[in-house]
Amino acid sequence: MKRTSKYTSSLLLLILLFSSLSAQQQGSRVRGPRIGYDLASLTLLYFDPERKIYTFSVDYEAWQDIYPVIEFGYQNVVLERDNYRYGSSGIFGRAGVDVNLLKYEQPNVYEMFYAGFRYSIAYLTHQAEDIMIPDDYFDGYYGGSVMENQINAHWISVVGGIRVELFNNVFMGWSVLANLKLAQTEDVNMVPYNIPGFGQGGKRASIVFNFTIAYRIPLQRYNPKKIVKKRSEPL
Amino acid sequence: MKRIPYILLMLIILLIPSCESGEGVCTKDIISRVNAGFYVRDSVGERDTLLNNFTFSGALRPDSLIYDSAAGVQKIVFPLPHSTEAYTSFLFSADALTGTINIYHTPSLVLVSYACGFTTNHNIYRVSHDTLLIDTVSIVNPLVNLSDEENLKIYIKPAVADTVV
Repeated sequence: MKRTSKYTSSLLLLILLFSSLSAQQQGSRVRGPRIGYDLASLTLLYFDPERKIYTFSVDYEAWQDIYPVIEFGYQNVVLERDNYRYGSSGIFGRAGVDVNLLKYEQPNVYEMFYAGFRYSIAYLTHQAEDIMIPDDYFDGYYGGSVMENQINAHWISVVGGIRVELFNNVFMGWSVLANLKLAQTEDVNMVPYNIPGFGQGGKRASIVFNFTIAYRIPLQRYNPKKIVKKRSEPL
Repeated sequence: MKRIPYILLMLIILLIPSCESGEGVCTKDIISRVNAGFYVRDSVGERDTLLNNFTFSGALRPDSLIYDSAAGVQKIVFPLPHSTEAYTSFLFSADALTGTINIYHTPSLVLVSYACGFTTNHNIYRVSHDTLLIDTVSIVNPLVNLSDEENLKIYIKPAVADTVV
């Protein structure tokens, strides 16, 4: 009981702190790590239910309008077909920077129209079993398997997107990543069905959509150096 | 209010499906086959040759003919078994002459596509034969896969070629 009240009071203190930061005058700007989750992967439940991917992101306005970003995720694929069963699981990470291109007239506006770049790396294992090859001359082949293979891939991306603040510190936005693969481990038996964070394993380039909801932990206030002056109203 | 266009734009993007799957439909024949051609090599040089009344079958499937008394055969296409036996024997005849050819191969499973599934590719590392009809066999491309590329050149004895062509 005592412990519970201790946690509750700590939580209240944090909320008060964050509220007081938000309630301060509008001459300064809030920053803190913004933690996001990609909701676009939920569309896979309908469009590609055999693939599940979970993507998280963290960014931070390190300098005004410049946001270093890291993104990471996990993907699992199970394909059940009449003539084979395929499984794959893997992780990926992206690191890069987003630059906000919008010029705002007030310091406490956080809408973003941004461009940036990423360097990404992925690791996955995949295997196939219960392979059947029908043959009308020799006996067909049944029950074959391809042992687990490990695949690494890395690629670079340019990214563009928008992001709005729905409520205080709650953000939503989409982004498009155009990916160009730099290298991938060769597998003589099969190309990966999908490289986590990149897309189809056999392709050199891909496009990935993200639709992210994010929460910013408002840790700090600072005074921005550049503010576009409000245009004077025409007479 | 200024945010409304942005929010609408963002909701539209939700309607864009994640169009990454696209396995498609399999329309390919997924059995890898050996492509072999008949040639004659003599003092004149190397040239194609045609075999008549040509019959060809697996040694273990003599009742199931791949070619049955075919006329004007220069090129033959035939499958290899998926098992890992050291070699596979084939029986053939052209007119009254018969022979055997043994193909030593290593099979390996390879994905054709996620729509089609897997096939067995083979690596031919040796060919042996009797000498009644065949002079020599040359492995020009050891990898047997779904392509039409020629794998074996089968040289018929020039003297025999004159009688069976």
